[in-house]
Amino acid sequence: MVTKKNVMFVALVGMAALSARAAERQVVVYTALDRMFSEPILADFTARTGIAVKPAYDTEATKTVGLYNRLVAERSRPVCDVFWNNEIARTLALDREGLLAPYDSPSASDIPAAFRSPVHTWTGFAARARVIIYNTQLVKDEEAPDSVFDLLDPRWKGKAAIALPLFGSTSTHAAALFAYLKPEPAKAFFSGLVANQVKVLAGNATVRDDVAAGIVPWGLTDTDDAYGAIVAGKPVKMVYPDQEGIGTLVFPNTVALIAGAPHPDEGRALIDYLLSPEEERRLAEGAGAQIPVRATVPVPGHVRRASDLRCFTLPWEELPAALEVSQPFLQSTFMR
Amino acid sequence: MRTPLGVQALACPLRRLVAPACWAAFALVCYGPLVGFLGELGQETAGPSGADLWARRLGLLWTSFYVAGVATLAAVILGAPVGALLSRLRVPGRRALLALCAAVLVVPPYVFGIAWLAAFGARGAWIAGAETALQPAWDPYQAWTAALVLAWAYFPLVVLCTWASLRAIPPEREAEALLHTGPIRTLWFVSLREARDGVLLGAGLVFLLAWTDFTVPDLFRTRVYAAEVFTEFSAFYGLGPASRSLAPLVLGAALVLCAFVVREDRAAFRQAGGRASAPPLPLWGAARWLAAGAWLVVLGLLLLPVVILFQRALPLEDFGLAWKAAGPELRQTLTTSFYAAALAGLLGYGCAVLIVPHPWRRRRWLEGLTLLPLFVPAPAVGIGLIRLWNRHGGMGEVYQSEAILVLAACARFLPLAVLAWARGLARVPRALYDAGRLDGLSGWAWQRHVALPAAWRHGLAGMALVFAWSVGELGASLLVAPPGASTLSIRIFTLLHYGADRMVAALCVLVVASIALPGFLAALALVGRRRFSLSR
Repeated sequence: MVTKKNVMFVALVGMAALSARAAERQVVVYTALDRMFSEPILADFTARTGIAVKPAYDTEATKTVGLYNRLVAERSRPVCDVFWNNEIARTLALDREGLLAPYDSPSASDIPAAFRSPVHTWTGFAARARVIIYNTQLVKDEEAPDSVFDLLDPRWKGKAAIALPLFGSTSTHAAALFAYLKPEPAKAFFSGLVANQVKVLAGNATVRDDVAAGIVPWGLTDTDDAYGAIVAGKPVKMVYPDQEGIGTLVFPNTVALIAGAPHPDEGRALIDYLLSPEEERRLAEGAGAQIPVRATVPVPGHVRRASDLRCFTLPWEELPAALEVSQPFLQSTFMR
Repeated sequence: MRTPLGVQALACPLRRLVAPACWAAFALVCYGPLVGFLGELGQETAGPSGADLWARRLGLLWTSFYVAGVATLAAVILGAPVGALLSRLRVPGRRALLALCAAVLVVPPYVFGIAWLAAFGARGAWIAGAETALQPAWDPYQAWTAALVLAWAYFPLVVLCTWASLRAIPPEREAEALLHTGPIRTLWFVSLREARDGVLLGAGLVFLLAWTDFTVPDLFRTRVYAAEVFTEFSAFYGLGPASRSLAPLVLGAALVLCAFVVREDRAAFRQAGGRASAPPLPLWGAARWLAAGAWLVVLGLLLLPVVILFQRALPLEDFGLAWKAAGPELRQTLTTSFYAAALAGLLGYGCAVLIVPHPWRRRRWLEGLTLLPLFVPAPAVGIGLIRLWNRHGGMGEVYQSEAILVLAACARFLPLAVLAWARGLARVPRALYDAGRLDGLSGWAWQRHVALPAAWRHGLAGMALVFAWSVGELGASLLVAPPGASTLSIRIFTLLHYGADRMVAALCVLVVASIALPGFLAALALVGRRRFSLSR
């Protein structure tokens, strides 16, 4: 029976629930790192600090770019506190747009300067590399490609795959090539991919899966994806490309506080947590096999340090400008 | 006697105040996003343009048309004969099979796609043995496989429409034909011919659903129009370009829906509501085997996805892991779907009260308008919701909360509840109103004591459908899900790209389990009661 007393009781319970909810400390994080890797870390952060994390993940098909554009769209009324990007180019683009707030995290004091913003708007940690993955049942070890430029080799016509270079780390790789090779040669390179019938798939995980399944003999992907297939016992091997040439692209995760973040204190706490040496070690030892940027963080045997590789060296600051040139060209070339 | 309710029958405060308020809410929830979406069409934005763009779009539209067309054709080829057999032959357990058909309709089509890939995909369990022999000829990711999977998911719709229309054909035509020929020829040349409007209705619905679906084509790496626009929008957050790109799909859906309203207006089978159903045809010889074969094929096709996914997800411990890993998503999904169904039930009743008193022809058009949001592509609904709700103030608070997921589900599926209530209320005999008036019942009391008890089954069926379809909603919620909120469908869609096949299979079984109960209730309400038919 609906009585005045009942209605008041329900209203009181509702108000209590709402106020309890409002009092809860929380942080909103947009993360491009694969959910399977980032979710346990965020859960541990909540367990340790009592701060609830509200994450927004992106899909593999629109990796990083979706979150980047969402942050740009929300600039007048930010919802996000912390952007945890799994690469660096879009973070730098956000920085250029003035969407990041400076925060000099005490956890970042031992991170090399090359992986930190001079004005503390972003910090890099736990890197990955762009690698070649090949199917050992279709490609002999001695014939395996060892350069990204093998994508243009007529020998591999229609037999190699990349992810759509508009998104995620493939987009960063493309921008890096635009910056390194300069625009016209880079355009010739990507047009050459189309001419050589390189398969363009939805994401790096899809490239890995198709190579592992033998649908394509080899492709370009990231270390975490390739390592996942190796651990799963798939007939694949990984090659760090261009060790005799321009070097392998190694790029860090980046974390940044959003300007005008609704929960800045909680955001700083999360950044401190993510940048701690313990978390970088955890990312290295985890299924993502990330490469620590700190020399002091120990790595398991299967993870190669950046210092052991010939790396593709590039001033990070050049990436946003290169993105602006590369994206329209790649969109017109590859958007299906 | 089933004279439709007159306008005066509903001359009560409900009709004067509450029902218009419900219509206003319906317009805000369902047409608001559409208006928001249309409002973006005129926005000036930078982006690709010119002949190349249109050539690409036309190519994508053709692919969408091809996928929807092949799916429709396959669904009709399979569904119409099966519907006819189940309707006109005395097959044991046919009601259970029809209930299963209705229940399967609420399973999201991507579940069928994932089941197909689990069996016949690159890493498929059922293809593993033949892998070497088929390679390199076998490519599981093709447009026609996407179309076949959509046909697999939607053919029960054709079965049900054929069955419903066959129930309403005049029995004397079949009786006359049976004097000259056997039951199978009668079924083929007389019954199915009479039921063509029902088959066409089923085909049209399958076409509309396949035309706007992007989940299955995305699984099969087929670039259809809706998938392309979804990717473009997710990537670039350009409301204007995405809206302009989606406009042809919305227009196409509206045109097909209009064509069907006009067509149904002229159709004869709808007029037969209330007539006695034709008796089952006599069954002997080959027909008996044919019926048994159809029964088994349909049962197999309907249960196969669950069997494949269950097998893929084994061992059983993995279900426990999936349950644990996706617990928050499962709770969110069930909560969202429950609230969506409840809201749809309330608003649907209020809206139906205003639809029912209109004359038949006007009512068809009102129902057509009500149904339109159901066939608007999900990404368009998502874009419209962002445009409408992402503002400063109270609307922004709603946009940033889980309530936006409820609104997304209602924006897409509320029409089902309105239609179900409308069909239920339309069947309340005029005599009951007169009897109530003689008894001195007020308008409210009449609604409470006469209309609701008479139409509750239809309302329940509508709410169950809203619940079940909300469980599988993906296209709109993927765009509007606030930070910290995710649904089972979103989780599955995200995991798909990481190759977590067993987890995905286990989660799909969870989705099916989540909708099994309301799906079964809806099925019982839809086909288990003789009083319900698609005709009124």
